[in-house]
Amino acid sequence: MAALELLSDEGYRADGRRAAELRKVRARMGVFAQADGSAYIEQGNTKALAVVYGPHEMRGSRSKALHDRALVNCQYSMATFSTSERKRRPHGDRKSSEMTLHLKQTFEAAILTQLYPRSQIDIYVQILQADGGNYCACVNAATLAVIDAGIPMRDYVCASSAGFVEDTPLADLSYIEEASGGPQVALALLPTSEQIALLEMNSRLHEDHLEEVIEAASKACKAVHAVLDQVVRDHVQEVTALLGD
Amino acid sequence: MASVVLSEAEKLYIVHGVQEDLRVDGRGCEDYRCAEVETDVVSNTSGSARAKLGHTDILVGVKAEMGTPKLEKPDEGYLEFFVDCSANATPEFEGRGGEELGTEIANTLYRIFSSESCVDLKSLCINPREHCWVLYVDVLLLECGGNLFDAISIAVKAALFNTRIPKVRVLEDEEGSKEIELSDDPYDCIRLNVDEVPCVVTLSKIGYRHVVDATLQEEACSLASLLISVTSKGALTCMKKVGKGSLDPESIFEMMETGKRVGKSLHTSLQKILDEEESLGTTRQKVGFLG
Amino acid sequence: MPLDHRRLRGPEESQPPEVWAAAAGAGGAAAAEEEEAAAAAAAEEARDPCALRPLFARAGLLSQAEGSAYVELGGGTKVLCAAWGPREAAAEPGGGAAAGGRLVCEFRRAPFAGRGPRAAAGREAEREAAAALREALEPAVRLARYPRARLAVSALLLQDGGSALAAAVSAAALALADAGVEMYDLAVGCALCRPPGAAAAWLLQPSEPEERRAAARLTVALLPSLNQVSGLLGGGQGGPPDSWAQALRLGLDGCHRLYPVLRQSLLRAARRRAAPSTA
Repeated sequence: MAALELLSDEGYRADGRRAAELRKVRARMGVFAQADGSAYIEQGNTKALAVVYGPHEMRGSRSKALHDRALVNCQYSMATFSTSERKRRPHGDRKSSEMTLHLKQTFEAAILTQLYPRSQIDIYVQILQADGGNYCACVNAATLAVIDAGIPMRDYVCASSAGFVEDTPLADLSYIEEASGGPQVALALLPTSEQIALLEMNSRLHEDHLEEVIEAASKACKAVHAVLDQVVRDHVQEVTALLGD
Repeated sequence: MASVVLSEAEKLYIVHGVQEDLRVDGRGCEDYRCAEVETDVVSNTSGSARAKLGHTDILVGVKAEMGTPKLEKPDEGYLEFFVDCSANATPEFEGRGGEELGTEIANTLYRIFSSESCVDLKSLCINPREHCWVLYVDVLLLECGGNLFDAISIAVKAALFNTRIPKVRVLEDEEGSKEIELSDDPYDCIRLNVDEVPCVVTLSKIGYRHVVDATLQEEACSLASLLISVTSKGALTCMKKVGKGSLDPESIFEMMETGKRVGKSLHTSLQKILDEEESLGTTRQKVGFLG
Repeated sequence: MPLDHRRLRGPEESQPPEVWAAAAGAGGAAAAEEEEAAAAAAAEEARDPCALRPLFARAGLLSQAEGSAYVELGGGTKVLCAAWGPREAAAEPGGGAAAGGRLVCEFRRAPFAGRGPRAAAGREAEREAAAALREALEPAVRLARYPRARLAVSALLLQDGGSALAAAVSAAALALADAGVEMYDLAVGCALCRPPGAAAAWLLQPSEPEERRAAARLTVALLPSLNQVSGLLGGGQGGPPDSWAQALRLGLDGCHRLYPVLRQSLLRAARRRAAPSTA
């Protein structure tokens, strides 16, 4: 079987994008009324929902409380119908536990947790439809939800993935590009300060190319940042207009 | 569920309001909240729908997968229900916290769909004893603001209406081995007839009266409710008492009559929305969660 | 792949041969089945739809449990129930919203309860029955008198001859009363079923074959002296509300008729318990 052509000679990818081009990002804040903060994001065909509760008193055992900062509690789950093969459990498997941990690390780096000692912030993300870049969509959605909840952060956290095919770095991988087994980098960036909140790489990549790929990913992150910033500004404007009446 | 704590005075206010057929949000006792239904929201399912009833937000995805028929019914496919009470709805559902409620709702759904006439299961059979379609109906609870069961049943019905199962042919060669061939045309598919699919009407007893579509606050005032599932023709397929309290036999009879009446009009309006969406076809602007 | 040689690996799912036999030898087996169905239909004709099956109840027969009861319905339904009085509850999940105590119910089918393995829907059905049991008993127990405490009821179905859940409700209520738990009333359970066919009438306390063939089923739990319905669980082929209402009336009537029997058994248990101390 001939391998799927991920990058044509003319420089187009399987879904017609250029190497550095992102999928269309659409987002909305304040989807739910009962949660403290919520957001929904679509990156191409990947759709994610994020909900934030908190900061509130510790739930469950108080012994987990941190005396100098807030505890960030995450849960990543995927709707059973989100993938092309039906999943048996929405969460609790090894992959989603790993994702949960990554999200926790990302947001511990971004939220000003020292402002809320002895309390807890819950971030729950749900993938409704999976088409590559699940982690990135989750981080972006959760950022919007945290902002919606009014929890202070150092900066937006924007995430994007990048791959490397035929000596060209590709930004924002789709499912088929992820499944082809090439190297994959997931990067969560605080764009203004250009600090990295999380960097993860799978598979094998020559050392010389690493810088290029990270460069492509961080460029994509900044592009995402521009979109998210616009969404936040629009949302705030809308809300203040409603208040003004 | 997001817990609501009401003071005695607040409870009294709600109970007295219900007595006067005027509820806190201005509805009468037999009125539903404004419901939003949208089908085909998740593209990698066979059928999906999202229903929003006040603050209750439900997403249902139906996936058709091939399986083997059950032994007792070799010439029928079957439905599998799974309810995921996600932590999105309330932090209490985190981890395994939502499982208990999830299985309870799933069991109720099985009971509601236990009637043979609900869905034509024979049409899901591909080849008796060997292959059939299994419809996995996955319910995802995104937010609960009271009256879960009704909202779920509306979403399930809409998702089943939206379900398209690809047509397959069974080819048999001379040695008797069978092969299944999928139709090439993606528009060549089976649709389910959902005329007989029931909707749930939950009637909550508040004071001496009963209300439909209770909000969380009203649910906190009600000791017991009656859950009945009604088909579009007004036939009852399932009946269940939920809640800590008990009910007077006479009021149950009244509730059944109300449920039938309300259920019938619920079916009519739901079918109208679904037909409207259907007629728009691909020209429909998909809103999803962005609206 | 390393194999486990210590045990023989059977197929993951086992299937009773009858199912295949019925289809393969279509002639004989099918005829036999038809005969059986005809016989059942004939028996139905002869049966009085309002007839109750004889009920035997005995409270306080287990020495280890605080309260216990055994209920047997003529035709082979046997339920054994045990209850434990208020115990201190562990940290309540979901906060202390409820001021009263908690009632924890369990329902188990003995592996030998029914004919053939029922593993398929077993666990789920048990859980649903346990939830139904709790809903039926909660209104009868004065939970407000037991703040932050936990009452436990465990029902074991020894033999399923139809109307199992109804028998379990009655037995569980007896066991709670026998344990000395404060109650408003006994909960009495009664089951009904409607055989297939448009004009079929509801049958009171169906037997297991009747239940299996039924188009619709209903279990009612009643608090007889308060005349309050504490539990209601039913489903099946759709019918007009009138038909269900009629079933409900019939079921309530059945509960009222069963009530004296249960009370008697409770009195007898109390007397038995009092007897040794006076002697």
